Amino acid sequence: MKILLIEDNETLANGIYKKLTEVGYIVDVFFNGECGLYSLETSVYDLLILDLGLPIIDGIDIIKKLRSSQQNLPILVISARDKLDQRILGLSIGADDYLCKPFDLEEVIARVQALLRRSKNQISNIINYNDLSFNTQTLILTKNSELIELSKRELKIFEFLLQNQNAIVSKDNIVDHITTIDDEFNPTAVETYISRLRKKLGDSINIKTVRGLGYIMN
Amino acid sequence: MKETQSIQFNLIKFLTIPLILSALFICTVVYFIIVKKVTSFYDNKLLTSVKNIEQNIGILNGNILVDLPSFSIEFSLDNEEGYIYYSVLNEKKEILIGHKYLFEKKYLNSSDKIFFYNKTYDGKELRVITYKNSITNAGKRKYYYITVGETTEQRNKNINQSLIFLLIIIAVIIVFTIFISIFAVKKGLSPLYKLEEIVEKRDERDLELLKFDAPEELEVVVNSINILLTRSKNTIDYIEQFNSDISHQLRTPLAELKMKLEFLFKKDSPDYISLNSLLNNMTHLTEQLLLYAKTNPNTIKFTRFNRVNLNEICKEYAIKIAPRVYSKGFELAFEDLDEQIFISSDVILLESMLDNLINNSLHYAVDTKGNPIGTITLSIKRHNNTIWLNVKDEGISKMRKEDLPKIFDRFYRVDTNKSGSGLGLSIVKQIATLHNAKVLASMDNGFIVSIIFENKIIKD
Repeated sequence: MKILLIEDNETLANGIYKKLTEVGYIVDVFFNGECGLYSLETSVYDLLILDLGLPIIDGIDIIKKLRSSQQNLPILVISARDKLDQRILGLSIGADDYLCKPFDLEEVIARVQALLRRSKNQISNIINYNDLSFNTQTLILTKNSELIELSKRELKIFEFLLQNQNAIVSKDNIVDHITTIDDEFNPTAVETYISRLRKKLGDSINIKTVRGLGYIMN
Repeated sequence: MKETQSIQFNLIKFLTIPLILSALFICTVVYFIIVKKVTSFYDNKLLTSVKNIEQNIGILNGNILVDLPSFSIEFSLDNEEGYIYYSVLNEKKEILIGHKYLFEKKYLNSSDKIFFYNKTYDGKELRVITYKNSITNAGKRKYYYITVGETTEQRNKNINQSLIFLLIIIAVIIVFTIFISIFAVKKGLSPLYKLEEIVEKRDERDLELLKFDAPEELEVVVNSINILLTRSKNTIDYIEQFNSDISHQLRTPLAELKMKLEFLFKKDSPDYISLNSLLNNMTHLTEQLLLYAKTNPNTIKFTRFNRVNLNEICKEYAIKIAPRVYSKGFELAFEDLDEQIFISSDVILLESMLDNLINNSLHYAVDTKGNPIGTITLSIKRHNNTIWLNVKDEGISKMRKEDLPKIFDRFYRVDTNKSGSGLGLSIVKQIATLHNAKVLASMDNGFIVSIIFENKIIKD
């Protein structure tokens, strides 16, 4: 996995660089926007970590250029400006994730991994979760390489929860995902499917009911 | 009572009083002129009566006599209204014909030929003329005195009619003057009223320039207001930018410090743990101080307030915050309201407020060992005319009920052993105030903070 880091503060750039290489990523570092943008145009990266306040070419301009060239490169923005500050500057960031300074390096790694996983899933059909592995193409779910039998609707619900790990999914979202316009499906039946999933998958999954909102799987 | 009287009142007062006084003066003068004219008219009539009687005076045997019987004289003197009295006397003041004692010498000087006077006769008020003339016969001059008096009903009636007519004119003039004054003053002051209306209609937080086509007299005022508004706006812009720059400038070294710390110490070393904790506290305090400054009602831009759906905002916020709540070991619940509530809000500020409330629960709803307790519930409820946005946790609070209102004070800390900026709930209160909402803290199997939107809910 190759990551491009554009950050003008050398201490921060070195720190992030060290941590990412420790974890095993290949990292290119640039201290200004112009060099960073040149490198983006000439090399292929899996992820971009970008500071907003950069010399020569600003981070926002880099994002704009990237997005206008239809590149789906995941971008993690790190900035010393919070949401309120950004609004004052009139910034609207088209980034995939946003991290406000100061941050823990662990947090950077977690965000990088999440972004890479998300973009990888778009290419690969396999989603791994704890000891489970799910193929979104063939709808085959295995636990430690053993096949687990689930009904088609249960599989669809599981897939949906898997794609939205650590996020709230409402019953309506689930119904939308597993039915077509013609299907008649009572949202309360979702509860039955969830309880069956909990039963069949046991400790491998952790689906929590969030009163008033839906479910969260983490 | 207000000491300064309104401009309108003063203008009307200073216009109507002199106008009414002049009208009264003119009418008084006219009244006296009329009285004089009427008196002179009737006095002339009396004189004519005298002349009529005089025509019938002659001399017989050297003595003056009146050549008419009484009834003829009375007929010729006939008055339309009231009574008429007459007498003719010879030079010896002996009565020749008519009413006795009507003539009184004291009213007639020897030099006067005609004399008018008022007199009470026969119990009646009379206007009397006494006329002295002479007739010459055989070289002898004989004097005679003709006196005619009439009761004053007729002339009084005429004067009274004039007076009534004048009073009516005065009343009309007064009413007309008042109306004209009010109309003119209102018309003249209309730009002031328009300005008043524009200013009254404005939200006190609105800093947009006054758009008002001011007449000459108000130009200075409107320009001054606009200059002040521009200055306020510029100050707010400056403070916003300044706060934002401070955030930026403080966060960068803190981030550097944090990074250096991570590489200098091992993660499990006591030095790292204590320094990192200090740094985290410092970061938190910086963030909260800046947020407190950024949400100050005097330096906030209310142009960012829009009509938003409170239900949707809260639900979306709950969905967004849920992963964090669950990652800390808490559960989350959201209780919506059936009706849709619309408020005027700055969503980023509203979310910052909710952030502070949730953080407060995540921080304090823990047992003695720091383990999370229970569910954090975000709910929207209606109580009569008010909408309550509640954040409730299930923590066991050490707080006394009487201390509850104090928790919104700056730097008030319930548990001084726990880290914290002491600003979280003041920020909540400040943001609630920006939304014209009140805050209330209560305890009911846990700690509840309610944001109460009163009456100003914008209904769909």
